[in-house]
Amino acid sequence: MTNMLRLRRWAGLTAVAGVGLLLATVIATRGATPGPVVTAADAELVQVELTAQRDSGAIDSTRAVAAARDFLPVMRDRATTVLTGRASAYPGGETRDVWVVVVDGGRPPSLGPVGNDGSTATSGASRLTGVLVDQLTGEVLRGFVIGEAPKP
Amino acid sequence: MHRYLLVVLASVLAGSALSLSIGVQSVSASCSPSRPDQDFAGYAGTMDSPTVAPDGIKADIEEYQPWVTDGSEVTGWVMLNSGTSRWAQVGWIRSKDGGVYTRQVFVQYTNNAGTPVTSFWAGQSGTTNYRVDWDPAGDTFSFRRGGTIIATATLSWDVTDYQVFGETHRKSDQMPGGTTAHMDFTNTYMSPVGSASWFSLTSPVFTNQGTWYGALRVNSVRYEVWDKECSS
Repeated sequence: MTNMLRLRRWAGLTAVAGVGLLLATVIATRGATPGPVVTAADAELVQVELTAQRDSGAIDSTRAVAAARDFLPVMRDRATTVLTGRASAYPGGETRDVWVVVVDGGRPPSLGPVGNDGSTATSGASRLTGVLVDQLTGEVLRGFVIGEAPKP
Repeated sequence: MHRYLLVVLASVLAGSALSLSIGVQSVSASCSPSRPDQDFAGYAGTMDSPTVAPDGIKADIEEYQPWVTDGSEVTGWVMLNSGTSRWAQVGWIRSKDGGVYTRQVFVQYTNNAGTPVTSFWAGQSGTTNYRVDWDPAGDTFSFRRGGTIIATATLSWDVTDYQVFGETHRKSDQMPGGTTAHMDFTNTYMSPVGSASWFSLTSPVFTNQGTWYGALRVNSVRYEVWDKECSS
């Protein structure tokens, strides 16, 4: 009998702990760091037209995020924003419906010329990193990084 | 008996083909140069500020497979620039994140506000012609890979220099190339403003770390770079 009571008490505590953990997980997920905001100026810089259409192709946004993270591994473990748009891989190329997968930050784009060692204002941190994924085929059209504007 | 001989002959031929294949691949193998893992922008190649500003630079760049420190990248590229704060470049980039290598073609330029904007496309192997053109009248830049324009940009700054380099971002990265397998920049040409012609390069080699990196000007259309700590 004593054992049965202990078992019930243990089961009750376990259930309460489980519900608590579930609630904590939901709250943590809802309160997780949001993905970045993509402005019209950002879109113009990387030559993509943001649109309102959703999921027009065979590739869902989850697969698009996976493709983006494969293409630019620096995007892994970062909160993503997934938008839709139209873009081409190259100037004059076929315009396609794309997933626009973006994250805050990324690898500093310190490529620049000799004498720019990555520590100057013009080659500092990255502000936005993203990848354009064809909604129909899952093909990565291209990736992009927008750096921080130079400090005055 | 004849069948047996044929099998032996086929095996020998297959083995030779495999050896040849391995030999070809080893030309651009990776090698850790065993230097400390510290930030460092290393360069080996050539550059110039010609009397008449350039409006075009191009080269065939070997798509080398250097060893890269995790979280870093190594590149090979051509560039038109103005000092150290404005540039427009195209080339290949090899990165490593979480132990995984990725290889891409990249374009990077600084826009009118000085903000660097970078684009990436799937990478390739072999040797690729990379080229940047500037149209001073229209303030437009175009970036080519293998003759195809892959990006354009309207930028208001004026070009004064050209650069052709292999670049590392950590001391522990391998400069593309080894002592027995240099990375080649071939068919190196620039075009001066006002001329429709291309001219081979007269600039000497340059590196900012002569102890670690080698650089050689074979002739005006061929430059080679390598990491002195690596054979290939």
